[in-house]
Amino acid sequence: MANRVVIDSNGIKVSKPGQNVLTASNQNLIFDSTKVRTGQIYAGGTNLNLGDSSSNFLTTSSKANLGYIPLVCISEKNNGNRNFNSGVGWVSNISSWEFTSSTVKPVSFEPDPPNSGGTSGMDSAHINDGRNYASISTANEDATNVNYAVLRIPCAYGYMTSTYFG
Amino acid sequence: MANRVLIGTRNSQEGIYVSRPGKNVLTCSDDELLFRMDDGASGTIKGLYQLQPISGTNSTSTTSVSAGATATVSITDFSWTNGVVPYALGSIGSGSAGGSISETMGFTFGTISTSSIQLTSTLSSGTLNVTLAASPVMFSGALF
Repeated sequence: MANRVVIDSNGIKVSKPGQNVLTASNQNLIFDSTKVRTGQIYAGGTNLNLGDSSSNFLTTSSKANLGYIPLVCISEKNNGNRNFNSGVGWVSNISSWEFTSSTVKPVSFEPDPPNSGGTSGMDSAHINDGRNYASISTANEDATNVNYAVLRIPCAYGYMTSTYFG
Repeated sequence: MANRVLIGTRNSQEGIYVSRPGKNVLTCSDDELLFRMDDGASGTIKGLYQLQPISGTNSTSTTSVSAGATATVSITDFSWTNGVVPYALGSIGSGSAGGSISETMGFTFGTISTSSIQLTSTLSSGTLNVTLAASPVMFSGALF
């Protein structure tokens, strides 16, 4: 049987089954205390049908706000629809989300491409709450069967600094 | 060197705790812990986020799904009572969604159980190449 756990002056390492923790490469470790953050699940949601609404992940057990926008791993039923029509494009039932320090919210956006070909300046994203872009009216827009896990890892501009990772 | 590992009592709760490099596991904040058990404070930890890669229907790492077709990818050895959350990365092997929709990757997840994941291509032509991974549902409630 391979050595699976080591506790020494550097901390704790745990290897995958069958891997020797004393010699294993990083990819074969399931826990390594030399890293500054791990994927601790702080909150989450299961099988939610959100429509245009946001989900507040702090309500259950009255969780404290982490003080930063966290990394959220999210999965939903519908994945993919980038529509371009007559020079106007939008992104709708692609799994697009807005994250805050307390909520996740389904969004859609119009990437504002040029009308006659070429490269979009992306100068006006037109982000909309929910998935109800006017030119798309299928149920595929809705955020259904949503599962997400809020990880205790900062993931936003201004938060991925030594203050939070030091 | 800071105390990094505690097997004992923290905030009146026994458990195993590991702090970030340079942080004293005895005195640091909860957010400065790499690993902790629920210590009874206002915040809770439901587990560690872990993913399991899934082989495709033909025992390769990629599942190819024809336009409009549904693929069922089997899952084994998970034993996740609360269910499975699927994650997918994909690309278009060929074709597109058709109509006014161009060059998009489209699919929907269908029935998901602890033994299989259904995935349906929304392309009107061509194939969709998808690799899947899954994580456990950590709690039976809608929010946790």
